[in-house]
Amino acid sequence: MENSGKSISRRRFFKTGGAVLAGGAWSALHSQPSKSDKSEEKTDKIQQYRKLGRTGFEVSDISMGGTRNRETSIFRYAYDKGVNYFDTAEGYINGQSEKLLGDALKFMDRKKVFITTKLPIGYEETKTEILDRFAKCQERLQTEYVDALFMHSVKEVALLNHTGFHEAVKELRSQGKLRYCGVSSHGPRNDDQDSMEKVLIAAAEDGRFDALLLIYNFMNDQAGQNILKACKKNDLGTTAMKTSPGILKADLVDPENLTGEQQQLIERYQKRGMSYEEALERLKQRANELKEITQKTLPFAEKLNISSEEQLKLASIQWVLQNPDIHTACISFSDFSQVDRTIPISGSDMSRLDPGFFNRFGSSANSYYCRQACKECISGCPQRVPVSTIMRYAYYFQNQQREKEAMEKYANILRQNVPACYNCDAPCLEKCPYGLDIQAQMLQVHSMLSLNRT
Amino acid sequence: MKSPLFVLFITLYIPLPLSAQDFPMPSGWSSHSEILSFTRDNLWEHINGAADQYLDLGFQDLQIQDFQKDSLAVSIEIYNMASDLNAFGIFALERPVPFEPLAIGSQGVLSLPGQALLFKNIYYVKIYAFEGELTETSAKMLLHGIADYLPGHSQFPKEFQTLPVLGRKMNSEGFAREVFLGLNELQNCLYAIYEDESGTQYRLFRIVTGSYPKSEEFFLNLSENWIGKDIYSYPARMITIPYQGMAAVVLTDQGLYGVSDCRDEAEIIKRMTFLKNSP
Repeated sequence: MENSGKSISRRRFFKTGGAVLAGGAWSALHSQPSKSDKSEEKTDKIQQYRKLGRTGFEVSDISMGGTRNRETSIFRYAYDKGVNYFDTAEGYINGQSEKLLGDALKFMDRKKVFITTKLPIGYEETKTEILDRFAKCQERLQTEYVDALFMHSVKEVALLNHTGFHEAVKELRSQGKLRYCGVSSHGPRNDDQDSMEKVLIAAAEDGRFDALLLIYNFMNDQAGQNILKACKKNDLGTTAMKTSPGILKADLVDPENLTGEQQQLIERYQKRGMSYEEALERLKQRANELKEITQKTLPFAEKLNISSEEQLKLASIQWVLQNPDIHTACISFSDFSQVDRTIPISGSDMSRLDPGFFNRFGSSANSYYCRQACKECISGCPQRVPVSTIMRYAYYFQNQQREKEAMEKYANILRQNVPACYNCDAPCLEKCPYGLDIQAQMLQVHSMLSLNRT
Repeated sequence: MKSPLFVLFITLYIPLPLSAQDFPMPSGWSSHSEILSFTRDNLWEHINGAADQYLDLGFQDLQIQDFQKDSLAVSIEIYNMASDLNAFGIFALERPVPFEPLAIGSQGVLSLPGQALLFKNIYYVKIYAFEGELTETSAKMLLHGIADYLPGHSQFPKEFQTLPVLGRKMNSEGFAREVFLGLNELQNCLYAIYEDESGTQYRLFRIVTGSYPKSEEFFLNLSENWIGKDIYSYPARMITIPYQGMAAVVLTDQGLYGVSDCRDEAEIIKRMTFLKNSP
């Protein structure tokens, strides 16, 4: 028998809320589009392909990385949506990511997809050892050839001259097992090492590499631009990773009122030998780092009127793609709804952004996109629950850091019987002109605003 | 030669070991390396994009130290995954297939000559040979040494006892914390592969919620993609998943059970016959 206990953590609530709405987005894209909504109909698939530098291969502007995916079917789903560039690595899930992609390749036209994998290279490694490792990658990928092999996460310019790697690449090319080679970099781990910018510009100018994988997003625009300029000059293919680094909100540390997560972190630091004061200081330092990211994010978010993390992710990818020198943005899809939410960005032009874009796509994943002052559902509710008012309180709680106020306001109207939604047939669902799953959202909001005080 | 700046960086970077005790020193091995430590914020610096799966599975921190014995040099990585289910989850994802399980820690496995893995309690351990080759003897000795050192129980996560035994393929169990079957609604799912008398395979799973009210809440919150049905008098929801056939989730008094990889509704009902005998 399961344990008893009714409370639901806020974190769990947010996850559940996101999941429900994400599922809704999937449903929306699979159902027949209305006659008046042509834009959704046309953005169901990849809209733009870009030439990957000197490889000449036309790759989808949105590509898929295999770091988080556990199912062959997600690779297939992305492929059927028009994605034709798939990125994996020897180290992703200990090689299992390559195996999953290999299983999916059986359902794809091999000539129409571009497959990259990556090997971290050590200075002492020999050509033979690299060939052995590549053979295992190829075996897991179950393909006669790999389109591009990347040196994985290069941290020093000197490594670009690795003799064994270049000899191995030459041999694999002559055998038809490999077409191109490239370099990925995430930046240095310590001060002895080189910046991503330095490594990748050197790689672009080296002449032996065909494509680069770089961190590119609205927070590292200048470094990214410098790398892209070198790539353009030398006709290299470019793939952006870590496209969505921003966050809209960071929890502050109030020692008198720590969140559950903060309390856990303190306990963990203490287990590692820190005093309470040291742990608290570490927590504050971490919170300040997050706050710094938030501060870098807010101007971007405000400019685009972004109010949810989901919108932020999508807009960040779109920002990356507005640069024609980026050939594809590599996104780590792990579920169907994520593919559905992201693909509509393909080919969209940020400078001529339709004002309704985020409402249709971004806000479809925004748990609380209930129109204020809309009372269409009230007539369908046997309990006369003031849905739009309650959703506004949820917005205060989630987006405006007015948690206490939101909970107090909600407590004042709690007598209006939201818990009755548990046993209701939900006639309200037919009344909402925007298709919100009101019952599910009311139950979730109730858990959040009342801490499940039924 | 490392610069003074590098030494300073390491000093700041790795403040303390996982617990008050030192990193385990395998008997007969020596180490002259620093203990490296990584948290959720910087795990990617060590394993790049591979960090995503660890973070999805609740990763908390990692400690690494290198050891040398004769011509063999290994790196030992100890991942704190916060729960035994999480530790098992990453172990199950990364172990080789097929594999011979070892009774070391909660479970161990060798992938010779380069690697040996184990999980115990909340810890997942990876041992790499970066000079020389691991043999069965040296790898097992190292695994035993680490397992003995790590605190906590050596049991297989008890939650798997609630999965039906009949038809279950040996060592096919796994755990998905964030997304299961490509559906982000399905979280905290433990699963195993089953095989019927004709050799057809399917997956049975349980969604770990911790309490009946939470299971009920989870069930009610499943999106409109799920179609309501009763299975053996229990409320159930079914869904068609691209390329994977049908799946179902059933709300029972013991919590949420699920099945996937079914051709149709009839197959779902057939796969769930174990519910007929549940209390």
